[in-house]
Amino acid sequence: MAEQFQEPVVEQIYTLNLGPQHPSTHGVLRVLLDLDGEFIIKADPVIGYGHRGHEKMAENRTYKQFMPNSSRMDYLSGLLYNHGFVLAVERFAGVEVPERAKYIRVICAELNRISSHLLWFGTYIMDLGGFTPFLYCFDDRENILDILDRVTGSRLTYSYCRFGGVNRDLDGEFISMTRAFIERLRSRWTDYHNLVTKNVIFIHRTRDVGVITPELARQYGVVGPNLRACGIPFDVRKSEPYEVYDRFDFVIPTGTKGDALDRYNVRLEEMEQSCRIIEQALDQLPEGPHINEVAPFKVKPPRGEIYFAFESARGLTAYYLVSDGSPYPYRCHIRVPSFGNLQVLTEVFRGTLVADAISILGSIDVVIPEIDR
Amino acid sequence: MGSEMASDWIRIIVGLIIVLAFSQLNALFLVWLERKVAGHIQLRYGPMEVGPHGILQTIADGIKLVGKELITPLSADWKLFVIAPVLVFMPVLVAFLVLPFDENLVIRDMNLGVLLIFAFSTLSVLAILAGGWAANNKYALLGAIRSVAQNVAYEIPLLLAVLSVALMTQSLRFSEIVAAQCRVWFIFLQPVAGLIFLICATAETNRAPFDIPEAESELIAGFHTEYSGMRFGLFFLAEYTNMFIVSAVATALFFGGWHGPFGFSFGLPGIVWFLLKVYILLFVIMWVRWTFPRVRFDQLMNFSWKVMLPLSLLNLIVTAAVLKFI
Amino acid sequence: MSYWKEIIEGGWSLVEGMRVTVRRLVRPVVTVQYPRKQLTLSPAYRGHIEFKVFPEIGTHRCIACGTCQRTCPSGVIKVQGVKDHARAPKVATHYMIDFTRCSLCGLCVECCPTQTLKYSTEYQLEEESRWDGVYDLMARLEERRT
Repeated sequence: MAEQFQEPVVEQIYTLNLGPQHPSTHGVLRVLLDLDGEFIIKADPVIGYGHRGHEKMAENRTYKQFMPNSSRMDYLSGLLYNHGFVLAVERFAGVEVPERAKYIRVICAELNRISSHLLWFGTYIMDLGGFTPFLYCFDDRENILDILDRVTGSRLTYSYCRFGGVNRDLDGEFISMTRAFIERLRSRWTDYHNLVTKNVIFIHRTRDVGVITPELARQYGVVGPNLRACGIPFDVRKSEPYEVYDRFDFVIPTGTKGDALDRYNVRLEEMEQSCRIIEQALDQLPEGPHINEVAPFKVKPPRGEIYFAFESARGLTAYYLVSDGSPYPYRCHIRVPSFGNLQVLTEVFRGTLVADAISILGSIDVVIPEIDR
Repeated sequence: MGSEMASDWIRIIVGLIIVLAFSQLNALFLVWLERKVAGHIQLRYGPMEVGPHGILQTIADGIKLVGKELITPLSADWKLFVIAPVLVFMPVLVAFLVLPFDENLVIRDMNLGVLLIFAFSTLSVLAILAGGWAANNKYALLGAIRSVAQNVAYEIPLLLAVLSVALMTQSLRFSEIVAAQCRVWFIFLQPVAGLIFLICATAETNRAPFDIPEAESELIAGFHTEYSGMRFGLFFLAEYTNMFIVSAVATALFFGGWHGPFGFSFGLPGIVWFLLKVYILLFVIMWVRWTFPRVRFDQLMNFSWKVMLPLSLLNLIVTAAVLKFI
Repeated sequence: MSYWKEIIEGGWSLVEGMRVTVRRLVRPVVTVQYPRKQLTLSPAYRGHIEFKVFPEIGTHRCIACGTCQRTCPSGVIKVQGVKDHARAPKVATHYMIDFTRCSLCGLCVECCPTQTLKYSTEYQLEEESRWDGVYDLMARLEERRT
């Protein structure tokens, strides 16, 4: 598209307020667009409509009390955030975790990652105007939610992980349901590929649209599937394995061009890799307690600070905790992946059409409450 | 003379009432059908509550729409704003004049019937432009601009496709075109023209995957963003009636009108065959809508000018050559 | 030549897509007409909290220690208790939760030293006023016992 874009006549520029109440800004994002006809000259994302002050809240709560907050920042991968927070605090305070709990956490976290990617897949096609794949994805996602509901007791904001384990053990039903789900998801790929991936309209809407070059990605701190789509195989699960990720055999899918189609392919392949991780984890699942019974009731990390990074569904996420030795964190900062992913849009939007802007915004997969937090 | 005049008037009034009643009922039914088809394609029920299988749902929705306040934005050009929904419905009604439901069931069998339908259906884009412009909303304006560009682009291949049929029958009268298909439907003789007609007709009626004027994920609701209540309802009904008309025209031009397949009528009256085929085509249009993503605006234009237009021209030339030399 | 190839391949991909949707069209639906038909709840379902009734003593075992009150991140729990005489164990007399602000994390259930709290399985909670969301667990317990 860029070569068709010419320098605009200044008088013909007008401003379009895309959002915060627009059907495809995914939450409460507002993008100020300067348009020349349908070409975007300047894009300026405005954030902060969903600010709830989670970081400040953390300072007034004990570590345990902050746990439910962690899954409310990124509501689509709440368990992953939960998992990350618990891991950070455990490492900080030196809490032992039984082997079984580690595996349970990985299984549930990967299930959550699949559900997040499935939802992204559905909503992205909906941004492109295809409504039906959205509901097929929800049909599959419903399965994951049922599985997670069975073990965690809730469907969106799980609060499942505890310092030293998880709050409920897996049962045989869960394992058989998960295995059945993975089989079912694999049988659905052909349908999804026939319906979407091979579709000529879809390919034309995504190929060479919203190209993020590796340099641009590095400058803006783009992470997660968006970074891997540029061809940089960076995944915290591989580069700095936490939990038990170093015991599984999985590959990091990468793209070549960094356009929307690559991002789409990377995410689809990531779901398959998550399935593989879950299968291996289920095979290796050890017996034992699901929670460390002797974990301290009140977590009091020593004076100091910790930076703990993990891979959420949208990329590198990190908790930075400072402790003054009290049961309350002195400071809690959360590095969210969507922030960097969103900021790169100012560069990518330039010279594209409004329809492409929607496509790019969807393909980046931003979760606004996570940025505003 | 006087009695002739009177009978003429009675004819017109009766015809108008029938057309109005039919178009409204048909639109209500189509909205329900669309929701049902969409629902079942998406593995859900669709409307189920009002009436058996939700058949009365659209009537309930209509009553709700009538009861709603008609909001006119302060900065809107209110004259155009009010006229546009009426304007969009008028050409739709005129088109019913010449649709051949059966051999003798035509309100007025004109010798330029085909031309009349396309002439009037072009007017609906005027209404969309008026509505989008008058609302004074940026999304509506974008939708209106897109709509005009799209309709201009797709009108031409559409007419060229029709022209190749007209060449074969040497007539623009619907009854003669249909009568010529009593053995073999034109879709078998003119498959390319038929396909082009169907694609362009989908684009003409702003249906997915060509629904860029009202692309809800980009332009919220496109040209009818600011319309509320029954004014929105009129746009909505007009869209569905338009769908019916293009399907009916496609049936008459390519799918043998009131004739059964290959001259076998299986004892069914012509109107049953006609409506059956129209509703099958409508189903296909809905099926397409609930399957594909939306094409982008410039790709839509490219597709029209670079694929549809050359193909239809080529088809026309081949048809003309074959007719000339055989 | 690639022009024709693209048209034909593109057209075929569209037909493939339509085959997927029409196969779903004839398949049975997966949704449930909700108020008429209801799904079974997950055994781990977390509703608002509720007192357990211990059959041995026929009532709850809340000693009004206030651990749940202090642990609750949203501060929705208020518990009060009395001692019959100076050396008797404390017994809860009032237990209120403001369910409208509860975030269902389950910390109160886990921290309870006497294990007297459980999750209820109620989920159809419609109220007329925001104060209807404030539950008196004692009154609910009495209601269940009678």
